[in-house]
Amino acid sequence: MLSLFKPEIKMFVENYSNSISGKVLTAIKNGKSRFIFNGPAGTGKNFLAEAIANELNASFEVINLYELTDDTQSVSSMILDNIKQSAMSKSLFQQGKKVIYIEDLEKLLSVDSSIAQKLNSMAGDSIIIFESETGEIFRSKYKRFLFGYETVRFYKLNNRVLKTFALKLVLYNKMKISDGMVESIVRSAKGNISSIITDLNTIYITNSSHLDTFRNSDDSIFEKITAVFSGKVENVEIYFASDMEAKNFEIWLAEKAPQVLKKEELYHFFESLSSADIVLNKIKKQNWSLLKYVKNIMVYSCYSFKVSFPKVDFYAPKWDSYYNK
Amino acid sequence: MALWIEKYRPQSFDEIIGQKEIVEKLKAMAEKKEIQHMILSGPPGVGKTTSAVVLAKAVFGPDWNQNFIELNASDDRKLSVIQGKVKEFARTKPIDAPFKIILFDEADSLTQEAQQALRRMMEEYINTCRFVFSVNYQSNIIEPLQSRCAILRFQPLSKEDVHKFIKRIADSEKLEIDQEAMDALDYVSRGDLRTLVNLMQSLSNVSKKIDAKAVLQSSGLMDVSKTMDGLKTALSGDFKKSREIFSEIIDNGINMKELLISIFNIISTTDIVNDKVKNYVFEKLAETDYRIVEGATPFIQFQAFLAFLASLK
Repeated sequence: MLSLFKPEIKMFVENYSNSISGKVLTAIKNGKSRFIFNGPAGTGKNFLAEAIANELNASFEVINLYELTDDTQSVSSMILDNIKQSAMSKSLFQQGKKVIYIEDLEKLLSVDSSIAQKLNSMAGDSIIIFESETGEIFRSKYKRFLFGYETVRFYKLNNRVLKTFALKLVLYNKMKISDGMVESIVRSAKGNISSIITDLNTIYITNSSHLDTFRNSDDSIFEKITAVFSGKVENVEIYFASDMEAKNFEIWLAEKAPQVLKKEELYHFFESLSSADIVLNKIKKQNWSLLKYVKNIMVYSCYSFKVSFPKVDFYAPKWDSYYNK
Repeated sequence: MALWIEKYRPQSFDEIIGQKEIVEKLKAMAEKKEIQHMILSGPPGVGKTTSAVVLAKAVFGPDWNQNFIELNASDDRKLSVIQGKVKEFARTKPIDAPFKIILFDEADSLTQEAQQALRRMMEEYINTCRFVFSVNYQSNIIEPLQSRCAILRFQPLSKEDVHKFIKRIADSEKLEIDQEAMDALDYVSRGDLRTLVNLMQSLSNVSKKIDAKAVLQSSGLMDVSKTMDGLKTALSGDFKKSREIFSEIIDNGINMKELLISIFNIISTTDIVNDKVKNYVFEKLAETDYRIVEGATPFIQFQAFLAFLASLK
């Protein structure tokens, strides 16, 4: 296995423009002890929490509410008990502070909105950090419950920072990887730092240089079917040889279409893409044939818009014929 | 009599058909006895579960069963199972091995809550246990789990691979299969080896000689030429005649689902319909299929589709 960096503040990776770690440390020095870490997966929320614990010589504990109980109603009291307990154990056996990291704040709030408030008055000297991955917590109905908590926002890491990190990790483990390989790993990670670690680990263990099987690196297939937009239907077959997921394919189409299609074409394209999307969401997951149809509709619609095929709405009544009579 | 599906299930890495890169990677992992958490994604019948079992055998040796459990779709997928059975297995020490392996077969059906619970467990018990998920669609796994796992994408099997496999079975079972029948088997199974092996076994019970016609009939698929005829008449504008042809096909006992799939295959691979119109034909076909799945009367929906084809003229 790859040896990783110890969670320390100086090893924390963030975009050059923001200074999350500095902000949090200053806030702690000023006596703050309640935080919400908000940001997408793989931006270092967990890492920073652990690094802070190490910095303060405190013990670190993670609470995942799904691990506690099946019955969501009793979750809040379980968490409160848990934290009470750990606060107690600290005061009896340990010196120093304790950092408690609680995952999935959104779920907690939906079960018991007042839990954050209750925690605010409990276990005063330990640092409590809530983790949240969506923007749900910014809704106004939660505002009063989260009073007294400092919200720290994490942003998707850019590729430059990620590449520096990847190269550091490569050097640290004395691996031999070409620069191009590192670059493609970084690109396919899409801002998620733990994806990079996992992928480097795969290379470390298997010595495999095969790039196609890394996550989301289906760009190679996509490049080939870009020709679809230029009106070559034969290229559709190349697409069917791959096992691309319809959902990702949709997103890719939406991304690329504006580069190729004109205003009005674009409108009709998105009209048909959105209807394909509805079908895609409704069908059962195991229904392969239907999925294939949907994929085909998407591909062929791109094609037909490009060659400016006269648009016929087969579902609408043909009013023209009535008027002509 | 043994089931062929078990008899011909690969027992070592060399027996796995296709998937060269993936097998190479798994081999390297087994040699070093170091494996990661993994997601094996791909269509059914391409060897996801088999590879996981083979990997376990290679790492753990003859007593591989002690350190390996497989949680199937038939097992309970509720949160309580994750908290109970899985946690219990993951936290206890492995027996004569560096770690244990848990395989979640068909992990698509894991609930969101269960996945959230796993997310913490995967980090906590990294010293004792590895988690392997086998899924049809990678997007059914939540992102935090995806980024913790190495992702191995299984490709649909190529024609050559399927043919190689058919030959292997034919040799050891002393079956007679010509080229045409092989193509038919490939067409019917659509790269799904499980379907293929089951089909071959049921055919071999009838006779040791397998021909294309028998394959198409027993699989529930009709002769393609007849379907083609029906489509051509519909496209020429003759609704009544095409309906006669298709009702004959349906009376012969073909499944409506299979009929739609074979129509889909014909239209997408031949020039029977103008490329420009294919878009609308597929949309209509998808609509028909969707309505049938939702419980509408199959033949009425199918006639609507035929009428649409006839209106294209």
